[in-house]
Amino acid sequence: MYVLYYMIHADFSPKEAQSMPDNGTAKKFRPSSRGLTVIRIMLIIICAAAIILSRMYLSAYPIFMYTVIGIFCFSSFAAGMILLPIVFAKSYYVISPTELHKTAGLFFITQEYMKTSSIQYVTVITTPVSSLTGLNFIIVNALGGRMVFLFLSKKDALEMTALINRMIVSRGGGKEL
Amino acid sequence: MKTFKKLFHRLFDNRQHPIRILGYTTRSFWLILIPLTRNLVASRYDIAAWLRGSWLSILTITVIFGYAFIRWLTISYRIESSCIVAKSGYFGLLESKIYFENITSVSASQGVIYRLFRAHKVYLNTNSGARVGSDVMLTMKNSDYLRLFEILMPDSVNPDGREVRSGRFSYKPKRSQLLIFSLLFSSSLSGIIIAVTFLVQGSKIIGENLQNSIRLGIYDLTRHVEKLVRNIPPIAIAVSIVIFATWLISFAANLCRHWSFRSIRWGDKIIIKSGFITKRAHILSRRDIVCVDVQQSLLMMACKICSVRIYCNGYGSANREINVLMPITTAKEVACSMKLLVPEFPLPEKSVRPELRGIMYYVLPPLIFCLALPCAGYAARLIFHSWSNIIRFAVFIGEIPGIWLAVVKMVSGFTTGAGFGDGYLRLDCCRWYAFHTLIIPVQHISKLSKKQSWTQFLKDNCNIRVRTATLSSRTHTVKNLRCDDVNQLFCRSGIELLAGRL
Repeated sequence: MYVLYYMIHADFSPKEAQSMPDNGTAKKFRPSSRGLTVIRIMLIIICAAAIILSRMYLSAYPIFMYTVIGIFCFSSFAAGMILLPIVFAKSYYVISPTELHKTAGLFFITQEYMKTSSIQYVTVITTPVSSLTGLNFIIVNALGGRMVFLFLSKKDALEMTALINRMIVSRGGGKEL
Repeated sequence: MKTFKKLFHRLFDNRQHPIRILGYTTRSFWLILIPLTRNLVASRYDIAAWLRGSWLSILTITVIFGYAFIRWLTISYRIESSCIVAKSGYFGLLESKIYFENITSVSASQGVIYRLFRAHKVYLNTNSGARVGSDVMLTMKNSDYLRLFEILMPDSVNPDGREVRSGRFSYKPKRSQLLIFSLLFSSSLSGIIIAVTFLVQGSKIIGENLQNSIRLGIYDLTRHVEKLVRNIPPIAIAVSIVIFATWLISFAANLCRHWSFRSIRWGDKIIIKSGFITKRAHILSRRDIVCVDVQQSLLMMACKICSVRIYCNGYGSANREINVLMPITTAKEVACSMKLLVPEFPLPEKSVRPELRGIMYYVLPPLIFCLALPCAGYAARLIFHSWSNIIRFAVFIGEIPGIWLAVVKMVSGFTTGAGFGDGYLRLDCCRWYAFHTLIIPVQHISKLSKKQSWTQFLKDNCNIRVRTATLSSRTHTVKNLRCDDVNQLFCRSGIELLAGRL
């Protein structure tokens, strides 16, 4: 039931993500469902390639061939339909004026917090046609470490970057020398 | 014409200097280019024959060059009044916006080729501990480089030392001092790194000839020296030659790197310029200097000279540079020079010292080494009879640094200590052969720990370990201080909370 729930509920629309609870000043973001779709497509391609290669080169050893094909099919199905949807559904990022918060994980949930006062600069990674694929990432570089926000929609990525940059400016980081 | 101009501007504006394209090519580019040029000369510049004969190599070079060109085209930067926006990484996928206020240091270097093309390698560093190297590295055109330095400098002038006006404080060591500095801080290890890099890169371009000729040279030199010195085994002579040669390389590299060294205090920044072949300039934010380290070796202590280093994220992390503020100064002048360059760093008095009766704590480890080495050598000689001469020589060579270390550690028993004043912690400690006097602002201490061995527990002594907020994970350890004194010092320095937790 648990798995079925996540299989159904993982693919929320970006509009829903935007309307996440917004407790006054904090803003919540979620990974884009398009990112999940892209990973699923990639998994299908990898699985198909593995099947073709196995049939080409392992046909002399049918048991071994079917085992390899089985492993690839099962792991792709498990990753694409069960594990990744859970990861995507459980992950969310919160930006508040005092700290950044990231929650992610599969069976063991990891929560990361970063003080906004320690942020040094932000790096955005936008891949080609990222508005379609949802392959946008943000790296927040801070004192002694970094926090990575994965698979964001382009709109969310730009909004998050703008928010964090505004925080740096508001604490005096953006003043002209 | 207008359209062409527009296209030209779109292509070259906000891009790195075109010389960077060469940097993006692979090393095999040169491996193919050299025989290709040789073929062209051999075919007496008959282009058609040359194209027919080496079309595959030409195609490969075109692909490599095309790839480098696309990389160059996709990487861009924009200097704004308060920040720099840089697109870096593969094909400019990473877009970083770094505010100048958060930059701890900017380093620029210009080699001979870059000087010819008026280009500069610029490294931007922040306090983010995310990356080992620089946060952003760009190859800038001269105009952009000057603009960046104009923005970073409080008085909007270029970093050329000749334009230093009154009210700016500068420190320039004498050339003899630089010679002494290079002599003292050159090591065979860094020489080996330079030599190996040179050999590997050289062999890639001109083949194995270079390595063979060096090997033959060492062999010949060993034979010549062997005739002069009878009792030393040839392997020991060869090793000595290699060590001396690599030390000499390191010495030459150090001298070239720090020639015409100058440090200038300029508003809230410190400019450091040096270099003979490759010119280097660093702008450091004084606010972000994590620690000042007055360093001495035993020899330097006897000559009453010292070297002052600073720890500021980004400075001294690239190109085997030493993070030096004053290469060599006399022990008398150090306080005055520091007041001139880093006036915010006081030199607090030492208030906590180890007890003299605990001096064996410092001397015992090297003494044990000195005694254990001959025993190990004797045992080795019993097992390997034929290697007797080499083992005896190795023991003799090993004893020298061991005894030297014992002497250094004994002296450190008298110099070690700690103090506090005006929000700055002073630590006097000894790491291997070097004596350090560290001055650390309390706000830059990232970790503080107190450690006791069982012998120290009985005598109520402890070691204190201080870690600063720098990228390097170095800890500064002051050994064998009395626990009560340490706790009092911590309470006085406003870090009683930390002390209470220890």
